[in-house]
Amino acid sequence: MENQPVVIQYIVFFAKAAGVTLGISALSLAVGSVIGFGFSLMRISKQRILSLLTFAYAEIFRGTPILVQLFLVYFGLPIVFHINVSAFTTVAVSMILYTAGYMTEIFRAAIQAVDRGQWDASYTIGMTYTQALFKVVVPQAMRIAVPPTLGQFISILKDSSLASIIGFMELTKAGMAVRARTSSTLLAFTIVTCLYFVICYGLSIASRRVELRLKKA
Amino acid sequence: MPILRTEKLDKYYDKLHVLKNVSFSVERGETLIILGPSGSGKSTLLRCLNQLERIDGGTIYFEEQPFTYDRRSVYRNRRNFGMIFQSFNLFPQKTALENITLGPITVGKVPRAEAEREALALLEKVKLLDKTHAYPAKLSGGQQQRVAIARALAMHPKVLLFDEPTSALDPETIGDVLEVMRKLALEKTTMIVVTHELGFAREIGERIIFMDAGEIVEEGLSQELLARPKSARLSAFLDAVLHK
Repeated sequence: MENQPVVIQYIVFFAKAAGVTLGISALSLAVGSVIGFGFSLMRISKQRILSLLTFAYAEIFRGTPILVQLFLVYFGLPIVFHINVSAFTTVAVSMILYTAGYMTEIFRAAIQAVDRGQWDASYTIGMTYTQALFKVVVPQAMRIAVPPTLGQFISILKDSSLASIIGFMELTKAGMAVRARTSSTLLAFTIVTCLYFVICYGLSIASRRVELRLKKA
Repeated sequence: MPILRTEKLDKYYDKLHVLKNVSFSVERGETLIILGPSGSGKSTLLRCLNQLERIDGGTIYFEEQPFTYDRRSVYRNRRNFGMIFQSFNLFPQKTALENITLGPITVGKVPRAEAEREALALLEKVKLLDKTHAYPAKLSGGQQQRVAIARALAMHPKVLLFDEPTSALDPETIGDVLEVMRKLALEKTTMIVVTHELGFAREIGERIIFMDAGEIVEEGLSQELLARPKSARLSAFLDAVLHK
């Protein structure tokens, strides 16, 4: 990298950081969705304890700032379990748990938005709760959940900038590093802002397209 | 021996008493019509028969066996009944064919090829063979309802429950649905039909039960009951339906 002109070096640096931001957000969304889907099923189940626990989970993780959750994992894990965790692990764990809270609610709302008549129809052809849920209701709920899930992706992508505070090298932290090296604050953060906007606006357009496609089908 | 019989059914939604002391029976092969103004408990009664709702008092007997409410017997008992809803409730992400085969394949463990063969025969019966691969959104109300009837028949139920099957339909598509139901009645399918179609009730129904405010007000042979209502409530209801 040293042989390349400075400008190129910075472009590569920012591009990599943007990739990290996108990657960690996608990872949180993917794993958080799997956890959130499982939790949403517990949330709507008739088992009071499961329902209550997942309700509490979603409310706590949605009801506290992600920055505080990051600090709790970053400073808490070494104290409680005497393990030092890397910045990456801290960020990944925090963002996954946080996203899981939101996805629990998104899936719960989507499942409950499916018309009651679909359950009735499934039951009257002899299906059990589990068959009705997975064969009839969940496929419809997934379509309902797509737009809010993409919204959640955009939101977690922006929230991931908070990871810079504990030194995780994503897009915002990259801006801070370039600023420190070049002392051109305005330029560094203008570039960072533009990159966030391009990614988020792209996702937003994609999400609107998907929404239209779903409406048509 | 009646195929189905209820004894003093009571049902509450919270404090609201929706079924009051409802006793009636249905013979095998009979078409029983249930008439009544909206909110009279007709739909609730049907939903209690296939255990979509739980009763709060009384007993229901299917082939003289009283209903029980543990999960396994509920699932088993539901298969004695097919149900057709006012709003069709087809599965929107599945084609007409898939709507019909889903039950046999997942519940009945019928091999796909066999389920499809039978589904095609049913589609022919309801005159929708040309819509085999159409999604519900592409079908008219009357067509959707006929697919729903085929879906119910695919499970070989012993009793068909119709919950206002033509109430949500455009007038011009009602006829096709009634024709299918007429055919089923002639084949001696046991049917309980909640409807406001007095013409159909007179022609096809053997007996009529008139319900109001959760109780059976009047019961009798259909032509007799429609021609000479005994209660003021039934006369008022018939007037209201005829002059709608």
